[in-house]
Amino acid sequence: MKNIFFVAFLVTCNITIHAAGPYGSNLGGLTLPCATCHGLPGEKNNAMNLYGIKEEVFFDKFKSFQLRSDKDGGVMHYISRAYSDDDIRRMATYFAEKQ
Amino acid sequence: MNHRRYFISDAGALLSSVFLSSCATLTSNKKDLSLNTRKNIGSVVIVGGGFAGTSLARYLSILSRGRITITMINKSKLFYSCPMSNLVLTGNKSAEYLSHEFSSLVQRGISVLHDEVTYIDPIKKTIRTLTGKLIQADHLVVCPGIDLEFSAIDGFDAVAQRSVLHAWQGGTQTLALRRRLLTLSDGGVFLISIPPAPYRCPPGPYERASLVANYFKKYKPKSKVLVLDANPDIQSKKELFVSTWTEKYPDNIEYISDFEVKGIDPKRGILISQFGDKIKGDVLNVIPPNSSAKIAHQADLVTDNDRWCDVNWRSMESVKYPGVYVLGDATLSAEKMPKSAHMANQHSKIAALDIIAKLDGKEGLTDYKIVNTCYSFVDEIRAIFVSQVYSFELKTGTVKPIKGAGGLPSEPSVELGRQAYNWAEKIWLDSLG
Repeated sequence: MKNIFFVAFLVTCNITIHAAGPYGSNLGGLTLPCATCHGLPGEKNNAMNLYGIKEEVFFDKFKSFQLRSDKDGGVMHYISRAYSDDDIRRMATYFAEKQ
Repeated sequence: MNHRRYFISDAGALLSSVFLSSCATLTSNKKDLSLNTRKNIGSVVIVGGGFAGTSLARYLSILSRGRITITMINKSKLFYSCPMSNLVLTGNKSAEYLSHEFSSLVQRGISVLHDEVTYIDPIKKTIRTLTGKLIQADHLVVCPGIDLEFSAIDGFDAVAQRSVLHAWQGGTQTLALRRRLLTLSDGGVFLISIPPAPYRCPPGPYERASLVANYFKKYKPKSKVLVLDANPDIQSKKELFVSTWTEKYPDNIEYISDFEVKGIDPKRGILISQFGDKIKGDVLNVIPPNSSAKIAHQADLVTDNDRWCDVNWRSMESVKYPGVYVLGDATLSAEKMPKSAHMANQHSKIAALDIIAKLDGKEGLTDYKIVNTCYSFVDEIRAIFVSQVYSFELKTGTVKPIKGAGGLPSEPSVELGRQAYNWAEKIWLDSLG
């Protein structure tokens, strides 16, 4: 069922979508919390700005945080473990499309 | 008395023209200034301009693309950050580092009133201010932060409050406490008392104790910090604070649990516990019990233990008054959710999404994940952190920490200190830029 929603999201996704789906319109319930440290499109950050990053780069980087050991883990290691692969793919697609 | 009656649509135009000339100190490089080019969908009044209020105002403006008339009311003309303030207390940063203007929000078309809200009608969604303004809006957002319950401590009257400082709400008390620290003689004792949980910024008092001990070790090596904790144990990052204190400050810090300050004698420099035990110090830094600010009580938003405001976590609306939102430290915390700047910022994003959805006639969020990160310095360059991610589920209506996520570092580091400074710069920008 989740996949059906995800495909529907991808088909209808554009800069002004408003239809609520998983995590609300524009994935706000998933992506906006990131902006506290990572910023909005075009903003310069001390942390990496996520908008415009290629999907596969985002996905691999996010997964690498999950796979670190606790000893080497920074904040993102502990945060990243809260997200499923579906979540990460959704974010990767979203951030790649917005810049 | 000349009562002036402002309604939001008028106040917005008036005040944005007044404040547009102000210069920005925190500017993001992408702004939505396209006001008046799209259909206005409604109005929001925000009570309080702390981390929750400012970030809500900013995100309402950005996400609605200027389609909402936003008024934010804050007593002071500057934003004072509590995070990082312990570095000012010990002289590692200047006071200017903590204070920020609201001018970038004004440039976005947000009306920022420097006034005090004296009355909230949660049914009519109307507020009244000290200067006589009466403002009605489609949605009210109450983010007033905390008040300190001085009355819970015998002898903590107005006179005592001039000499016994809390430095727990940002602004002038931080510098006043710094002056006490500077004039303390070598060998003097700095008493810091921690109120019963929940209180604002759980690791904050332990960070303060660490930084004061670091200052003593360098400049007044015979001096000592005595931490008097009303709680049975250290409330946050326990192992990291204890190991730091043991290794780095063995002669300059001492921790005492289950010492709830119930009385003070400022003239003799004495704090009195719930059991009548007395401890003497040269600088008294007493943090009284916290509760949501008085205006939340007046507005009938307080639901829990006469202190905190319970919210519907799907939207951040008050459980008592739909359409009235409560954000930040004034909320009754969800499971293992601290009263922190990062959390207040995250609350505002959920509320902004819900308000815009409602004004657009759409359904609000059915699920979300929000994050907390709190850094604490153990000296001027090394820091530690605690992080957690929380998930909202519609079927239970609750927000819970996600199992397997969240955690702490193994030890303090300079790299984490660098990240802590970066975090502060970024959250200030995300709130005020």
